[in-house]
Amino acid sequence: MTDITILVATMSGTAEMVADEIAGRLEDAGAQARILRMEKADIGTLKDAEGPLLICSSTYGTGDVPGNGAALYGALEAGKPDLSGVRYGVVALGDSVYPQTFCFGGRKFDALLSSLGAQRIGERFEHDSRSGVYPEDAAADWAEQWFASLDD
Amino acid sequence: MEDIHSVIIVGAGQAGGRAAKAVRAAGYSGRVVLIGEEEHLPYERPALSKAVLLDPAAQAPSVLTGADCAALDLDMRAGRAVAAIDRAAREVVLADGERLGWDRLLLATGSRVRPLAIDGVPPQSIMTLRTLDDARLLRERLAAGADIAVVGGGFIGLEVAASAAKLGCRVTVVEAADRLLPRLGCPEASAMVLAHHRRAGIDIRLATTVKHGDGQALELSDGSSVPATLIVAGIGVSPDTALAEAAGLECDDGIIVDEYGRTSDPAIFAAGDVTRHRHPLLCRHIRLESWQNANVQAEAAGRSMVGVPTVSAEIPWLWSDQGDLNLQVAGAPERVDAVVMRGDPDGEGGIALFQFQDGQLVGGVTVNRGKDMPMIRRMLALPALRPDPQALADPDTPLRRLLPARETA
Repeated sequence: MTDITILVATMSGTAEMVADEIAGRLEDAGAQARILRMEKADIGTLKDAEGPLLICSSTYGTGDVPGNGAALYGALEAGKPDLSGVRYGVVALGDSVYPQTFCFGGRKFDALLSSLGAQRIGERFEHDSRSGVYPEDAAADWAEQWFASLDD
Repeated sequence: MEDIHSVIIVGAGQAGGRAAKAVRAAGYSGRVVLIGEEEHLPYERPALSKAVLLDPAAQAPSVLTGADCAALDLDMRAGRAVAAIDRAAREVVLADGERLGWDRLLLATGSRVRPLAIDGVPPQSIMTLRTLDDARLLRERLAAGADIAVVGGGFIGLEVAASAAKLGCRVTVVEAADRLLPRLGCPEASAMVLAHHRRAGIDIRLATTVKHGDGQALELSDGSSVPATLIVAGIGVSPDTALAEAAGLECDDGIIVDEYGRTSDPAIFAAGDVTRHRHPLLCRHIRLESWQNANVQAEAAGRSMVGVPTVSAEIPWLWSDQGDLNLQVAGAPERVDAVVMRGDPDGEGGIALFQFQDGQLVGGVTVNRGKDMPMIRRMLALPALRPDPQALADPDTPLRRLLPARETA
């Protein structure tokens, strides 16, 4: 069984709600999904993960990663651990009221993990809170496809 | 409809900036002048009591950058005060006497902090927090080890207290009510917030007022004395209706506007904190001091003003980050007669509160449980939905299941 660790960086809680929904859908699809808020994760969490990681991050208005993900982001940036062998996906939540920094939380984690040698599986999923589409529906649909593509 | 060639927006805070963007997004191509008293381009205020106090390098998210102003062809007048509105001539009169003509005027003058007077303390020693300049001044004075007294235990007061405590200040909060945030309607939630701040080392004095001070300490109503070399007042704000009232626009604790943001003068609109607007979902007038209202109500007013009638109709929502505590409040209950709690106030997962009036869900609050807030907001937007209180109280029943399946946003 595939173990998936969903790492959540959230401002208002929406990303955590989305992660809950994704976890449910992944379990239905036969995965083992674990949700971890980023303030409880460290470099070891990423390096030692059994299976792929799924980053689920919202965005602060100035384009920063959410506060609870800042320490992990900073540790990765400073420590530059070798993450080759780590596979990950990205769910990025944004609000087009901030066009210049749209989905930057998820995009920044994506760029950082990739620069440390981790391998992204599939395209990044991006959601606009003004789209009229519920983020958890769209993200869970995406995650199901993403999970199916892990074996390819 | 008459031709509109000139739009003036008075007030360059978040609402003024958003309205200017909306005017352009609606397709209007005439003149737009945005006039603000602050020397800054429009920015968002929520960060002022948190990130901007904690980190000298932190920025408040901008609403309009210089590049935006150029791209949108906005005539931005920062650092300029408006003295009067001449409705007959359709002009605004600036403090320096300059007159600018308008076909449509939008007032986004926001709110002013209520001043606090303390016997024995010079007014200039009592700081308040509203603008970026206020925040920078306050940050300079929040040195580690300083003795800070925050008067008022509402959202802003508690946010400032939490930031000051994080910076190593000794902080006392003086609150007149006998518990924090009494309007939550839930003693457990008030106790949770209190315990959080006390754990962070903040000395919170409830049911207490300030008698007088001497620059070094404050004497309180219970006879005790607390050290205070810096006093921060957080006792609320008032809508800045002075210009509107002088111009004869209808005001009642805010400029009265309809759901399109139109005042009692059909050529004048208003947006943001300063308004008391007709809310189409709540079916009454309401004044909201929030980031959300400064976005959505300003956007509706901006569009409506240039001939694209747009209503503002989101369920009211706001948040307050106090150190590691995240509070979110949705709805606008007039009266709460029952509160249902979800989650364990002593546990890790936080709590959600559901506020009922006559069996109808009228409000929701989360304390470190933001993941429930999206569903609470969706429930509140469906007044006919009468969620089962027992199901709401059961953390094992997903809130999603209490909503109609897959209805679209």
